[in-house]
Amino acid sequence: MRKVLFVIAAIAALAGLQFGAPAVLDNYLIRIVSLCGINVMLAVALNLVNGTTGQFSIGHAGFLAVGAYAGAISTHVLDRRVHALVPGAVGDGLTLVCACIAAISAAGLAGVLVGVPSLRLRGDYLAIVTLGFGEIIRISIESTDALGGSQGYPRGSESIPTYAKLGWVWGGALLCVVLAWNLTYSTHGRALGAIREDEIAAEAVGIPTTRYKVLAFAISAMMTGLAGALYAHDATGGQHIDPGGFKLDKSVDILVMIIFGGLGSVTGAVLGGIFVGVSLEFLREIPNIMRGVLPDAGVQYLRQNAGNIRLIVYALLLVLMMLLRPQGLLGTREFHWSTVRSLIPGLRRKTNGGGPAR
Amino acid sequence: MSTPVLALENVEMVFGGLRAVGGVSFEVPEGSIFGLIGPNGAGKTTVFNCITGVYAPTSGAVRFRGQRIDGLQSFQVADRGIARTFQNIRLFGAMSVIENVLVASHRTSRATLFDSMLRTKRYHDDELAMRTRASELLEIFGLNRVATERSSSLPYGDQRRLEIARALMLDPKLLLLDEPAAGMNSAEAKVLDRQIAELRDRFKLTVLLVEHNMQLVMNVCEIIHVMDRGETIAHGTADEVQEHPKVLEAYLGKPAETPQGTAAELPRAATPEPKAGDVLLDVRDLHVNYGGIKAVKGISLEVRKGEVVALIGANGAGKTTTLKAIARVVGWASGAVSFDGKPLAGVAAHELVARGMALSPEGRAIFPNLTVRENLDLGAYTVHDRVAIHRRVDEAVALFPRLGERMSQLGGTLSGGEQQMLAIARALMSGPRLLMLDEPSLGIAPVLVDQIFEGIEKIRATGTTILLVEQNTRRALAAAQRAYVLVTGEIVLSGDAKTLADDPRVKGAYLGEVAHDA
Repeated sequence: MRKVLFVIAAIAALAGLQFGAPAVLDNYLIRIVSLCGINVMLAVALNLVNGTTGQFSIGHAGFLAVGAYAGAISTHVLDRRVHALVPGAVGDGLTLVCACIAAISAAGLAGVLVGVPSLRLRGDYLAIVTLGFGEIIRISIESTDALGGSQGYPRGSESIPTYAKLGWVWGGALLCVVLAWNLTYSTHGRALGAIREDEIAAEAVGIPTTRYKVLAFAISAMMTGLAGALYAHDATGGQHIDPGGFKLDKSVDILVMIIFGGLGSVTGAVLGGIFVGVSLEFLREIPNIMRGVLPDAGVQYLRQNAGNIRLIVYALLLVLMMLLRPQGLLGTREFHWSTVRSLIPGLRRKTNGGGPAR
Repeated sequence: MSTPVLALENVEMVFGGLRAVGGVSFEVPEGSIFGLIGPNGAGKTTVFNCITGVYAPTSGAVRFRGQRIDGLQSFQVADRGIARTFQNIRLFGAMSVIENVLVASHRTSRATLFDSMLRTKRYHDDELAMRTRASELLEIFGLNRVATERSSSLPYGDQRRLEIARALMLDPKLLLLDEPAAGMNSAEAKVLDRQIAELRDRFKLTVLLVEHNMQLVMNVCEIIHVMDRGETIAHGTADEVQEHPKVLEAYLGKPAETPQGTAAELPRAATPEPKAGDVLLDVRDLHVNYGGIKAVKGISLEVRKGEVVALIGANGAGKTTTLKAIARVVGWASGAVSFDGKPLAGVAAHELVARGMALSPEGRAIFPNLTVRENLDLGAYTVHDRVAIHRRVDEAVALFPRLGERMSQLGGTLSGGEQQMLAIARALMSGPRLLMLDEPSLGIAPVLVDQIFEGIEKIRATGTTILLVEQNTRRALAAAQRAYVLVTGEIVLSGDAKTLADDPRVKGAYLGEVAHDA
């Protein structure tokens, strides 16, 4: 019963987001909200491997690329045919669903192909293999003319239709979160956690560790592939995808999200994904905030170099985060209102202490 | 007779050129409690690993209920119904106590991945059944009250019991216990003794036990198989084995070669009793907390130059924590420690080595992937005099001749006793004035314990001051001049070691009979 209510509430909320958001938010904000949704999928997916299972992948940009290209190609092939059968918005949705299925399958397959030979490796070695995999995917795309090479896909003046409105993106995010949560807190999730804690002991209680690692990797790749398809079809992808968007720094971005949120925490990954999405955009506002604080010449300087300064401040934030809270925002725990209170021990005291001053 | 639950047929295991196990055969009858014993380096652990699929034997066969299991992987062996515990506890530290047990439900769980991800009815039914069973198992070991605690926060004895509970969750036919009593005090070991037999009856198990605690083995095991240097030397009941001349020889050394008695009767008068010399280490009202747990509650002690001082007490008394706090590896809540007259507050752990303090940590902590020589060289990190380093390596070999034979071998391939010798020798490489030894006899065969205590005596004779933490009270009091007895973070007794050795209150401290304010 609760399950049914949850599904109804979720669909209602997503529909509200899909149709209500354009009326309230401008295009820039819609882009950020959409980006956050994709980040959430990416973070939750990577957390399954790096957090829950304790393996270390820095090649997830590769799965993202596989998903994005597979989705875009699927739409390129199917768009007209589907619309010939089912016109209008329903046709849009159907095309997108096809793209997502294509992306999930392709990325899942890639996940198994990479996972089977490499997951016997540990730690640094696995990181290097996944890094190599990510680069191979990107460079292969770059050197394949049919995929548009470094110019991106689709070629020429064609574009990917932006079917993935907010409802779809956050629907995907919600799906990933729920599935990842259910997986993490189940028999199978405990097996993954056991692998993270002690592989030898995990084997001794009957857990086939290699099989489970490949499983986690494949599920994670599928979720990343889904994120890729939605990214290719949303406003953020800019109706055009190119290999430059799937470089190592993209993998590192995802890693930052889960480290920020706390490795192993599903809700932490959600918060981390949103944080990275919002903060990178918010930091563009630095020159505007500094207006009045700094002399005009300083503001002018900041504005000219906004792009670089934003990244420096972002990096500083991360350094601070690691120094003050190396286990991430939530550690391995999950989000809970009582956690919020314990996270900010000074919260109460500050408001009390601040009272008389006002 | 029915097929034995487990049968080893001429199992041989060769590593490189080293024959760790050479043709061992035995049968474990159904429903028995079977002991596998032998001094360190006998090859017990290797046999254990051949059974559990960690190693595939070089030749020979392992049969479980008639079927070959050698060459299977660990998880497949577990899947057939063989559960095990580990010598150095391997729990899933970050997971809760009940989760640790639930992990082992993998074998009996019927829920598929899709059931888990979609939370189907089958998932919920399965989960409920597993949790009920896990709870029942925890109840047996009195662990239900801590079911939701992190397993790494449990005291040592509870961690051992949790490992057994986890193994039982597999619903095994054969339970392998690797040194279940290691690190337990005699009272705890006695409880375990009873528990093993109860578990066997209750769960219709066959139990195979590797253990150093002879009292436990002799009490509980119906059949005992004794190994030495990779070979079988005896097989039979406790009485038969105890009287077997080869067994006596393996454990006690050849009567002709070994001096009578133990370190207790070694000629101590050979070196002059230290005068009430200057205080080298002075600890005043030291408090140490781990989170909310008060591990050390106001300890004061002093160690004078040239002395051997023992710090004894049951598991969890705070002995190791005290040493770690002195070595500045863990922080203090309050108190003062001075070394050679200089206060240690704010001094980093590595600086202490240069000041002349060295710690040989509990569990040895040698570098497993470095050779013995490299381990020693790292101990001399603060020493820049090459001649002195060479001299100390020679001294280490003179102290523990076994190390000389193993100089180019990797530390991780040494037996437990040899690793302990290496850890002590490594600590000596910095030329310390104060050597702190944490549990040098833990998990080590009696014959090697003798060698280690002889080594300690020789180190003292060179004028090095020693602070010794030990569970083996008798040995520690024989080696020391003075001793402090620790109970739950407080010193309850102190004084002359010989006097304490005869003091019934010391035994009481282990069994929990001494009031805190005694």
